[in-house]
Parts: sequence; C-alpha cells; structure tokens
Amino acid sequence: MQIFTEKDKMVALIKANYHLLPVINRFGIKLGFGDKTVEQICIENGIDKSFFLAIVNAFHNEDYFPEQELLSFSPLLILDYLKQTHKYYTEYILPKLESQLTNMLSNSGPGKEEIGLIELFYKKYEKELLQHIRDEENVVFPYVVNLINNNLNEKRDFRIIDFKNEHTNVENQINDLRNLLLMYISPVYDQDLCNEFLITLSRFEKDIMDHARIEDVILVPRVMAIEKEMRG
Amino acid sequence: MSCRIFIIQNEDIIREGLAAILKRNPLNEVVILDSADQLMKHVKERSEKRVVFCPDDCFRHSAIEEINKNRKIKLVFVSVRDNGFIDKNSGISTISIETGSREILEIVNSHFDDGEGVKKELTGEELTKREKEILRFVASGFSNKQIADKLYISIHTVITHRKNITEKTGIKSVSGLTVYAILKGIIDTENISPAELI
Repeated sequence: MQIFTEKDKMVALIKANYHLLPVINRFGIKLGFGDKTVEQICIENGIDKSFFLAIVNAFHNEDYFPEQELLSFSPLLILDYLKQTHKYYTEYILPKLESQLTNMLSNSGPGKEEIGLIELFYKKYEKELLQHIRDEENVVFPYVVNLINNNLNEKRDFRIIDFKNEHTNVENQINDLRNLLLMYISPVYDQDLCNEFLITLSRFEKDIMDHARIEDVILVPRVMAIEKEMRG
Repeated sequence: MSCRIFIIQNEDIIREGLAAILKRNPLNEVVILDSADQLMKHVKERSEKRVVFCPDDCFRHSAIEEINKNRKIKLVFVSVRDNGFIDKNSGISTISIETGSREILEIVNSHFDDGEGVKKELTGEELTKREKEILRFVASGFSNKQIADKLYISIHTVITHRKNITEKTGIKSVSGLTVYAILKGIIDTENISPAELI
C-alpha cells in the first residue's frame, strides 16, 4: 500500500493516480505546482495538511484506514469536502453522462428501443442518487453540525451508523449500467459515443466508491466518537 | 480454503446437531466455544472470515454491533422461539430448530463465497427455469419475503437464487435486473410499459 506523506511532491501524487485530479481540485488546488511538496501546497492554500492526506490516502488505497491522530480535524472540514464532491457530481458528472447518453441514443440505428431501456434505467438511477445526495445534505450533514454544536435536541433516534449502510445500492446500479451495455445491449449505437459514455461512467464509478469509502472510514468513525462522548 | 465456523451453544442437542450438519461439507471446520468472551478474544486476535452460530441472547446489543462491524464475521442466531428470518437492519440471520440442513449450509457458503476483493467471474450460464421464475417476481417488484411465500420456499432459498442470478448475469440491482429481464423476454412488456417497471 502506497501511503502519501507531507514530504511527497504533489506532482508525484498525481502521477501515481490520475483519479486524484478532481480530488485535489475539491480542495481548491490547481495545476502548475512545480515541484512543491504536499505540505508547501497545503500551507499556501490554507488547507489542513492531515485532513488532505487522510482524504488522498483513503482515495488512493482501498484498505487505508487513517490512524486516530489523523482523525483529529474537525468534521466540518469533512462535510465541506463531501459537499464539494456532491457538487462535482451534480454539476459536472451527471449532466455529462446524461448528454453522452442522449447523444448516443440519437445516433443509433433501428433497434434502439434497447438503449431506450438504458436511458430509463439511467434516469431512475440519477433520481435516486440525487435523492441520496439531498438526504445527506439535508439530514445527515445538519445532524453532524448540530452534534458539534452540542445540540442533541432533534433526531434523537438517528445515529451516524444508520447512514453508513445506504451506499450499496447507488454503487450497484453503476455496475449494472456498465454490464448491461457491455454484455446485453445490441450494438446499434455509434461505438465511439458508447465508449465515451462508458469511460465517463467508469471514472465516476471509481470516484463515487471512494467518496462512499471516505464517508465510511473518515466521517462515520469521527462522528461516532463524538456521539459516544456526548451520549455516553 | 477451509471455512471456520464457531458454535457457542449450551444445549447438547442443538450444538451437536448443528456441528454434524455443518461437517457434511468437508471444507467446514467447526470449533466449539464455551462462552461469548472466548469469541470476543478470538475476534481481537485473528482476522480471517468466520461464521458464528450462537443463541440470540448470547451478546449484549453493543457487542453485536461491534461484531457486526467486522464484515469478516457473520453472526447467525439460533433461536428456539422464533422461526427463521433475516433482520433487515443488521443483516443477521436467525435460524430455528425447524431450519433445514441445506439452508444452514447455504448460509455458511454464502458468507465464504463472497470473497472480499476477489470478484467472482461471471459465469455467463443460462438461468434455470426456477431462476427465471424468481427473476420475473423480482422485476415485478416483489420482495424476497413475498417471493418466498408465493413459491412456498424459504427466504434463504430466495436469497440464494438471487445470488446465483447475479453471478450469472453480472446484474445486481432490482432495476438492472428488470432491464435484463425485459431484454431477454423473461417478462412480457406487452401489457405494461417498461417505464412503469424500471
């Protein structure tokens, strides 16, 4: 397992894993960083270094679980990061997937009813994902903020652990979308358009799985510790 | 790879009976533990996959949560009062003295089969008649419990069928399976539009 440290060059991180590009963007880091280290760039951008490392390492390594000391940063930072990620999905990835799919559908020959099914499936998925994101932003995140502000008066029954188990379906559907196209849909579409769609989809799949893992290994343990402190 | 199974059970009949059933699969390695504490100690020291059969009042609630967090361990409660069921929130199966031996073995297999990290290759096999029948219900929006009741089979059997369907097709979600079923003509879309099904 490759663990990045504050002394690593930022450019080395990206070379090791291109999928980290949108991740560093979410911290407001832009390209053109010369040979500066993670530490230098974090200082320049006013980013909590240990938080940045926890995020990129969790993103880069599936088995990474941050040590307790790395979990000292405020959960508010995590929420900010997660909201940035949601924004990336809702404002960039989902519209992109949708327009690629529409494009593919309108450039298909006879027998495109099958792709019509894919579009229905995608629409349903998108709706569920948006609902999931709304639930997180309207229920889960405010709960965490309230908890930090010592305010337990609402949602007594809710525990952060309840939120952990809700990710699976959202991930399964991306898997299904890919497999349906790869295995079962008659190829009456423009191959290049379909490839583009699948490539966007696979990037998104990787990103959203890592996003869910960050919630599970960083946000949930952190909030559980606070819950324990406050509720005994 | 052997499948380690722990049994914590005071009653001789249940313990010995369960062990005998589990040993029918030569891959299963059955270990009898005297107490829940022994298990907790073991959980801390080792990290391989295990299935644990124990009475439903064997652990405190907090201990169950603790064990359940470790995805490598599957708890199965043995109840003398209830019928078999799966708790939707925790995912914990409960078996009763009426649960059949095949079902018990299936529960164990499904845990060891789900190889973490090791993704099963799609088998690409044709679905059996029974699997298509189950798929038709799934695609029409029936729950596992409803399917079990309709076909007079246990919910564990429904789950095993669904697992097999997913392994054969590579499709996991209900709406994905619905699309598959329409594509393959397993459900009829003459009288109902796909938009309503998916």
